[in-house]
Amino acid sequence: MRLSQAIHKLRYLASLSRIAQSLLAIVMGFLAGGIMLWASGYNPLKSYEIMFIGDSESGVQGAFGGYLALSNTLREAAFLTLTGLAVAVSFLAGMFNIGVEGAMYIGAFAAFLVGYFISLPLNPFTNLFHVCLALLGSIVAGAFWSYIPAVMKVKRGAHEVVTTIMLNYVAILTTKMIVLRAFLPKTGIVPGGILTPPISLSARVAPIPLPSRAELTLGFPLAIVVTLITYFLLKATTLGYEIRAVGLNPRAAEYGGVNVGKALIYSMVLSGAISGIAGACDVLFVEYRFNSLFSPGYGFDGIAVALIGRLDPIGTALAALFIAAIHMGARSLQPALGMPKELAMAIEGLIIIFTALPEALNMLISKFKGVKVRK
Amino acid sequence: MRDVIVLMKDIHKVYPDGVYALRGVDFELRNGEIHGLLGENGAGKTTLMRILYGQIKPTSGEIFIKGNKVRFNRPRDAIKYGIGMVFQHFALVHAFNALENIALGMEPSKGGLLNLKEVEDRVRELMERTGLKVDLKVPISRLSVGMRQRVEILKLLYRKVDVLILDEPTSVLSPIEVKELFRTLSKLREKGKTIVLVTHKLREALSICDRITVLRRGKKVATVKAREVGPEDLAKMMVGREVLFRVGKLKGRTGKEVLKVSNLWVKGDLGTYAVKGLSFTVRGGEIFGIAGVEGNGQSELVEALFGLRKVERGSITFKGEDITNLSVKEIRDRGISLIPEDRLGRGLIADFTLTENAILGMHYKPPFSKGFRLNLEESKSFARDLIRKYEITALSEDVPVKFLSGGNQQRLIVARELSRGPTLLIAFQPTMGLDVSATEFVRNGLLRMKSEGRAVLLISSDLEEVVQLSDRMAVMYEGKFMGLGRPEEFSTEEIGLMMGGLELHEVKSGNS
Repeated sequence: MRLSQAIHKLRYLASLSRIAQSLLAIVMGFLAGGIMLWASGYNPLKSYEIMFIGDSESGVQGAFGGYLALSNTLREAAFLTLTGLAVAVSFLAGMFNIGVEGAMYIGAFAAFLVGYFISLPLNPFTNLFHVCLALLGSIVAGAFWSYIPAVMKVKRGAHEVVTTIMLNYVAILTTKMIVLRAFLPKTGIVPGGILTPPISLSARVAPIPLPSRAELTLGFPLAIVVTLITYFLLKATTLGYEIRAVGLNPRAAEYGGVNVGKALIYSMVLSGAISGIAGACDVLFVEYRFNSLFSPGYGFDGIAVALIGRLDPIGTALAALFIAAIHMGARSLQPALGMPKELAMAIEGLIIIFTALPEALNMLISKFKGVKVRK
Repeated sequence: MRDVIVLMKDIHKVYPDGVYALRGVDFELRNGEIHGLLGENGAGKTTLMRILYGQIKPTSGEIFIKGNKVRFNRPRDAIKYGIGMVFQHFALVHAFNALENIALGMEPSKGGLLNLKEVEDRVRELMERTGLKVDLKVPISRLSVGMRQRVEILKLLYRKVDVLILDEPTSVLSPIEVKELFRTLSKLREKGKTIVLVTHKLREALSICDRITVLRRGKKVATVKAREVGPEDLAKMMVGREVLFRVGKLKGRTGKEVLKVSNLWVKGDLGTYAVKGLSFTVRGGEIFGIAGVEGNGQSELVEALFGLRKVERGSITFKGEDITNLSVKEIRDRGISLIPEDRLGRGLIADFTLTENAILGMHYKPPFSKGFRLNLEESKSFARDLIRKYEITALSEDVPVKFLSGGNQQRLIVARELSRGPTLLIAFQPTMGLDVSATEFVRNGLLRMKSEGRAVLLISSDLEEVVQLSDRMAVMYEGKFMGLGRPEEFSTEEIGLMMGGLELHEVKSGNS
């Protein structure tokens, strides 16, 4: 009995080494990136130093190398945290939701509508009220948008990968069309996208000033709050319990009295709500208008973020910070070393692939195992 | 000892995770005998035979075939020396027919073209000699389990194997198929083949084997002549103590009718009817058992009773209330518990902790749920209670259940379902794959339920279990009951015939 207990203990500890696995994967990623850097004629150590700290000669700041760079990293991290959480919540229920990008656009557009068509006399109270109202709008809109593929899946068996990808196009192109047509005289067309006129002053949140003229937008603190709420929802509520149960073993969940379809729908609604908040962050905190191309693919990057974070809310937030830092760091390689942009992006991709690998493999394995349910 | 064909000496096997599977086992196989290898789950029977078959390597020890020392690295080596093994789970390509499966891996070809004619001639000759008749041209997927087993045996005979190892060959067969298998084995013995029968079924071992080796916890207890021992002796050797052969059947006071099923029709996964017009009742204070070979509609029946599968026709009444096609939650909340057949497929969530699994099915009710919140403290203390009361071996209540042994996983399920204090407990294959102590634990749990006046519906393909525990029983075959009555009213043979598809009146009239 003692021997078998010891073995159980060992196997249990091995499962705890998931964190060690993730760390190892990160190290491997940096090694692989290093080999590529070295083969291309760059000093890997120096390059990584520039990515994260900076280069004193050229004055380029790395991801954490100064207030300005840090504020950029955190702004990006906020978006990735939110989209990562949105992905994680749906993946946990076993929904391969690729539609976070679309739901984010819908959320951003809803926030814009609330911010634009309502105008309140400016004081701190109305400001707070208006911003909350706009956030609520984005939550409802995003939730509704993700509810559509969830219902299609539960009622008709339409595969969510197909429907969510298609709904992404619908969301991104429809909002663009509305912006182009409905706001035509006041529409701004810039290389970065088509811009609506700005939202009311009462719906804007100014960034928190930092030293060296850097500023922290509200997105990051909000992302932390959403992370904690999501953590609580998943770990300490009946709904979170049911969502996780359905994702891990739908047959057992069903046997436990869980309405599997309902749990899937709730997970998608939750995911859509978080996606909506991500979209609102850009409108209310950063651009103060709706930009038809505001996202460089945050919704898709969220998939990698969630996988690196092992679908755990806290892990996802940490992964978002990591990815944002790699991303920002890669951008500083170019000016500091004269490195081609493509190489910097390749390095970034390489590191991310390695880091995302363990969980992606786990998911694939469990997906295949799932097929072999004994019947 | 010229007739010794296989000699295994002082075989030790330690698995990489530190489990001692074998601690110095000697095993001797004589030419032309049927040798039973008997033991509980985890005694090391299969490990020993997989070593002989070259599938795993011993940590230490020697193997001699006809006096020559051998070292097998893979099954192919063993087959070369004339040793072959048929596993519980067959290794057949379902889309191929029997002939293609037999030829697989050694297909004769002429200039790159497959030539199965040669194979067919030889296989037909083999079938003629051994009486193992199989339709060679039908895809495996359309053959019965018994037929598939024959294909596996033919596959080995085709490879000119002299020693046939069969791992629990009867566990998937109906009594009639078992008889046929045993007839075949006797015939093979006459032809000079040597057979190892790995089993845990005492009577089977005694009925056909010449000698029997009993293993217990990785050690050999003894090798005995089958003629010289009785089932009680073997059981004693197997478990190291007296087994409770006849669980004390308390004459409980049967109470009111709890469950009433009338004319129930349920479809299977293939869209055809799997349950065809079943009617029965279960009363408080009784165990109603349903015996039958797996796959005769038992799964569908259980799922329909618990709201997991749609009832097409007929009705299910529980304490006078119609509960046909209610949701699982509604059925659970009315006081029905289920021990499902598939432990990790249905009963537990492998990656959830003990605590999380302990509240499955109660997680939405107080005290485990307060509004939308989960009461984690309450859940943990409940899980700790179950661990203590039901003697579940686990490091803590925070360990994922996938790290528990099968027996402890089952204890957890039983603990959870019994602790709900159900009016009706449905126990589906509750002791499948469990060792003796866990089996006894589960059976005692069922008997306790009964003595508390609760109704128990026991569905099991373990005939002995149904006969021993039930107050009334039925035998299910292709979605229907072949007979229903008190277990004492049937002889084993009658039950066997019913399991093979004969109705009770046919059986009785056939006998008289």
